[in-house]
Amino acid sequence: MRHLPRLRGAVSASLCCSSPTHIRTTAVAAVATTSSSTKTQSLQRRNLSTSLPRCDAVEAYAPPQGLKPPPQGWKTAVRPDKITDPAYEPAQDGLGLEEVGGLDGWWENPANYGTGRQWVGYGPAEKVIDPAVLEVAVYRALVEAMIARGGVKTLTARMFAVSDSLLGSEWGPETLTTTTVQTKLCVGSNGALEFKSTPPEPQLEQKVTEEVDTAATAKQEAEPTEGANETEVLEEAREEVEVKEAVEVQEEGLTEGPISSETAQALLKEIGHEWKKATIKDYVFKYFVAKRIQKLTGHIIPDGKLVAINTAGTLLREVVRPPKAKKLVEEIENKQLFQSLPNVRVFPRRVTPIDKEKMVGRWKVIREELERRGLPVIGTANIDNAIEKKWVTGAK
Amino acid sequence: MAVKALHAVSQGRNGVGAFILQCKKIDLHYCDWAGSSRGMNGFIKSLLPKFAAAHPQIEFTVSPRPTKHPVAIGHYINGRSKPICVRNMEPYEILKKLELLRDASGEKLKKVTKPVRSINQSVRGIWSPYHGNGMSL
Repeated sequence: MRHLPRLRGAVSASLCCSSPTHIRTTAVAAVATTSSSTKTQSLQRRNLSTSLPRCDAVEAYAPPQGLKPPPQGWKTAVRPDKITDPAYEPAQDGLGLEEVGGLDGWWENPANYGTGRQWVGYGPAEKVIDPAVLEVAVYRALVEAMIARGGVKTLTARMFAVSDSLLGSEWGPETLTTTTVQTKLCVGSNGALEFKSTPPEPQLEQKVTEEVDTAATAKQEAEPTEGANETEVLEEAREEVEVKEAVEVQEEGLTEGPISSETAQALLKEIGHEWKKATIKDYVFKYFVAKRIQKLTGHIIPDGKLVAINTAGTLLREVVRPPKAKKLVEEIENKQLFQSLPNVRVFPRRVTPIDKEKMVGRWKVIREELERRGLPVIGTANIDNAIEKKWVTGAK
Repeated sequence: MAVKALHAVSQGRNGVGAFILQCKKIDLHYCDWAGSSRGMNGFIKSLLPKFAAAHPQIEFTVSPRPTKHPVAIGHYINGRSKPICVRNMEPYEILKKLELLRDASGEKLKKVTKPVRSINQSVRGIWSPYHGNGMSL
């Protein structure tokens, strides 16, 4: 007997074949009622959703700036009898034909997508590795987060308001880092991080904000304007202006990017070590410090680790961490595990049979004897196994 | 002048006077990539420094053997060697294996039927049919 699987959902009207007419009508009506109620629910759900309905979303879609649609339509080559160019030579075979039209290479060309599709990361493209620069960056992030907090113990909307301008800025000129870092931090009475000069300098925030604005203005001036890339002549002119401006910016000492290692070393002497003992427990404050560190150095501190970080020293240790060794030998070398043990030898690569012969001074003799007999020193020189072996074993 | 044979006054017995460890060298091979070497890599990093410091009479060599299971090979003063595959073992399991290699004599494994064996001569001497009073038939 044939077994039918149990149906979990409502049975559709088409499956009810051998039922009386009145029952069938009821069933169809019930199905119709169910479908209409489902439609109402889906409409309600759609109204609750924050995103636009699909058809509206398609209509409201605005393509990013500079995005070009792929070329459409046909291109027809000029007929040979109407070509006036004297250098024209008709192709002798299919390979000689010139390709006309088509989308070959169109999708791969980044110029067809405009600037809207180019991804811009939050932090620098390359992580800062220098430990001294990293320490200065962590200190600067703490100072700037303290300034943004504005002397309030618990963080409020103020932090979010200034986060874009102050905390979202890049390194800026070197003077900005120096000004920020010269602000001393210390351990407060309850162990928390505080400004050393109490009350904190009232002009400090203004000074730092002004410098951030100056750096942002200088950067905007150095950047090319978007609408000027229409003709090649304009591009060339713009490039010349850019070069001049870049030279001027360098002359003024407004170079962007992380500070040099030497400058960082000099700044670290001023900073001292007292601030590392201070506790940081406010989650929002820690979040903004981590965000600022990411903007400056490119190091992302995971949330799980950020929760466990409770002091400035721990935060520094989390950021300034040597890269993980890829091989065991590198790790042994870094940690100097067997430095004081004369009975342990560590080899960086596989010890081959030739290496073993060399260790006992036998390899030179073996090589001379092999060369004297005309035999290959390394390998088999494509010489097969002994044919007699096949005869003995019977292998094919 | 006739040459006189020297009498064997005593036989060398390891541990009476001086004890010489039979294991002279232990090779440790690992792989950086393979998961079966995870325990071995951990052992080399964490436990080997202490073990090697406790056994200065054994020479240790650590070398990679890519795409192979980890192995510990003991070399003995009788010329034999004893390899043990330590794949997927935890560091403390590998430590046990190294202690086994250290304590081994290097001899082939034999079935021990008599637990006590002596190399002393029998005090009763060897029986001879030409000595003594003979047997009366």
